[in-house]
Amino acid sequence: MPETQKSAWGRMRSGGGARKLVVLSLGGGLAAAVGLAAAVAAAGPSERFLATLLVFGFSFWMPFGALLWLLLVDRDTLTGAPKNVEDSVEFRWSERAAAGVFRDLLLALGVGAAVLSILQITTGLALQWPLSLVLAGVLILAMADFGIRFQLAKRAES
Amino acid sequence: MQNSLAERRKARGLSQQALADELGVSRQSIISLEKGRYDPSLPLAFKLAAVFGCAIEELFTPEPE
Repeated sequence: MPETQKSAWGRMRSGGGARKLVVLSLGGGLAAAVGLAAAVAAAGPSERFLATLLVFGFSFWMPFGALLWLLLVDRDTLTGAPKNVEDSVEFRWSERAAAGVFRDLLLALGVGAAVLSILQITTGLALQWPLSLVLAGVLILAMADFGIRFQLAKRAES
Repeated sequence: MQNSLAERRKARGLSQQALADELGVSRQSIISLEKGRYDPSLPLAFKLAAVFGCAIEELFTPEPE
C-alpha cells in the first residue's frame, strides 16, 4: 500500500491535494464571512453598510476558513499528527484541563448566581447586562482557564 | 511509575521520534513516559510491551509505597 503523502496543511478527506484544500478553505471561509457580514451590515444603518461589511467580513474570514479547513482536512495526512491521539500525553492534559474548566464553571456560575440572588433580595440590586456579553465573557474566561490548566499540566508532566 | 523504556529504546537504537511513530503517539508522550511522569493507558502499555518483546510488568514497576 503506498504511503500517504503528508504535508503541513494536509490533504482533503475527499482526495484533493493541499493546494485545493487551502483554496477551498480560504474561499469558502471568505464567502461565509461576507454573507454573514452582509446580513449584519444590512440590519444596521445604511451609511455604515460598507464599513460594517468590511470589518465583520475581515474578522470572520480567518475563523470561518479555519473551521472549514478542520471539516475538510484528513488529519492522517498532516505532518507530525499522531495516529493514536487518545494515547498521547497531550490528550490527557487536555482532558484534565477540560475537567478543571467544568468544575470552575460550576463553582463560578453557582456562587455567582447565589451571590447575585442574595444581593437582589437584600439590597434590591438588579443587574441588567446584555446576555450576549455575559455569555461571551464566560466563554473567554473558560477558554483562558483551559489554556492555563493545559500549560500547568504540561509543565508538571513534560 | 518507574520504567525501563529509555534503556530498552536506546538498546534497540530507536530515537524517541521513531518509537513515537511506531506507537502512533506524539514524541512528547515518549519523553513524559521515559521520565515516569505519564502512566500509559493499558492499550498503550500492551503496544509498548509488543514493541520491546517483553511483558508489561518487565517494562513498568510501581513506585514503592
